[in-house]
Amino acid sequence: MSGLTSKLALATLTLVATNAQAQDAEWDVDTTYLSYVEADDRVSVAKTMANLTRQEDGRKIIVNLVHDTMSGASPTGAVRSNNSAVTFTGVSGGSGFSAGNGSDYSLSTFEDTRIQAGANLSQQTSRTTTLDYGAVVSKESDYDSFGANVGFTRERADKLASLTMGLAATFDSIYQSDSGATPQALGDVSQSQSFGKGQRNTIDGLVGGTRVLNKQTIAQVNVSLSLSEGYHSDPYKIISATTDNNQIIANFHDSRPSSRVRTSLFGKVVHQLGDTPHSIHVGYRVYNDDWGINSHTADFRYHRQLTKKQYLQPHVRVYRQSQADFYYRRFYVDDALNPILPSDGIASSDYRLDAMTSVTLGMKYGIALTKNTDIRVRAEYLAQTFDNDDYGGNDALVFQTSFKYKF
Amino acid sequence: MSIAYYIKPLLMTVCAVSVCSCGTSGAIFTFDEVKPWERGTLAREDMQLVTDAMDQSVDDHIYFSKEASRGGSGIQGGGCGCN
Repeated sequence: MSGLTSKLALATLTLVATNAQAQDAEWDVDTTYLSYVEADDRVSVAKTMANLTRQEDGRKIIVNLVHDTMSGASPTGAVRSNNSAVTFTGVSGGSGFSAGNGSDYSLSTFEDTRIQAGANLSQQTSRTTTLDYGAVVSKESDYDSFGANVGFTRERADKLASLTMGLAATFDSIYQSDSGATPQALGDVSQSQSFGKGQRNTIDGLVGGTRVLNKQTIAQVNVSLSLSEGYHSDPYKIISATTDNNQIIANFHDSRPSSRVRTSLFGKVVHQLGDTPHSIHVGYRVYNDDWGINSHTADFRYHRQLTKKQYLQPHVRVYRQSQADFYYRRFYVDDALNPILPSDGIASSDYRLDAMTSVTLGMKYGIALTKNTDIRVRAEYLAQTFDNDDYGGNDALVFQTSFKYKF
Repeated sequence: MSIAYYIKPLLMTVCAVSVCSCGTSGAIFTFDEVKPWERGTLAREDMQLVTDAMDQSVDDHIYFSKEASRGGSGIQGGGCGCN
């Protein structure tokens, strides 16, 4: 009898302990350090990021902190030339132009720091529904941003499918770091007027679903719509007007539409290969916007489990976009050397609005050091080629180290 | 912006909602009804739709700053002067 009593007492204690454990919050901290370096001493970025996550019954809170330092030289869009008929004054692309050869203002040097802080709360409101709320703020020397988002997810009772809807609003302020102002759209650089900070408001909406297809496969489909209005130009970008023999006659500031509508359709499948511990992730996105950009993105990752605690993950990404309707590599001039400007006053020579192809090749290695600790290291090579931009391309190397600890 | 431009995203949304609804109700497509005790593989870390939130965040930032497209995999948060 006493044996039975002690067993019952032990069982009761175990149950109590288990319940107490179930109510304990779980914490984890995930940190990452990233180095992004472009060839030819162009842009270098060092990013440090930390996510602190707290999970307890039906609730998850994530606090996110980001610190970026950026430096180097970025193409302004101006034609690369040492045969310029104009002198530039009062224009800065961050800290100034790298005018090493007299009047080549095609690169602007910069050095900046960006800080971002955000928080997100996921609250399970029933066995099958979850609400998400979040906010994020970021600050750098020429850009301020505040955003908030809300989302709703409903799972099917058997948890084999889910439907998600999300909405985000972002409010940005854009200006040149030295003047705190924005230049006149399509204004002549040599006699430019300045205006106050540019404001841009964006609303993003997403509807998506996931579905377990079988014991080895899950799929996801998302549709996104983004509407933005306000200042969309880049205060540092320049378009040159040149003669046929590449002599710069004048330079003009960037001038983009005051609104943008973006849509995308995204699909992803995760599949276990046979009866192995390996899996593949295949993603595809179709994107278009009312600036004339159409793009396709294919993303492939292969998760190769080396041992129970280690894995390798090769990664390939291929991206292709068309050029914006108002992309001009340069303006030409008439016989009297007057620049021929677009009649609607909208033009940009930003290389990111050019037709381009991006290819990324990467490799990631992960190891679980203990039950609560893992380390991941990743190296990626990004190669971009542009159809019109005379810089030829952009090659970049990315190194990333991440460390996660659960406590 | 012309009204016609909104037709495409509207159709895409209707399409996605239809697919998601069908997936949720199982009305059109026939999928394996995977029982809870058969979901061991799907519960693995490498079988999640997002296996590493840090990588995704970093990638979103890189491609947002170097390409003209953005969005798709989730709701974007926070602007950046990089593009």
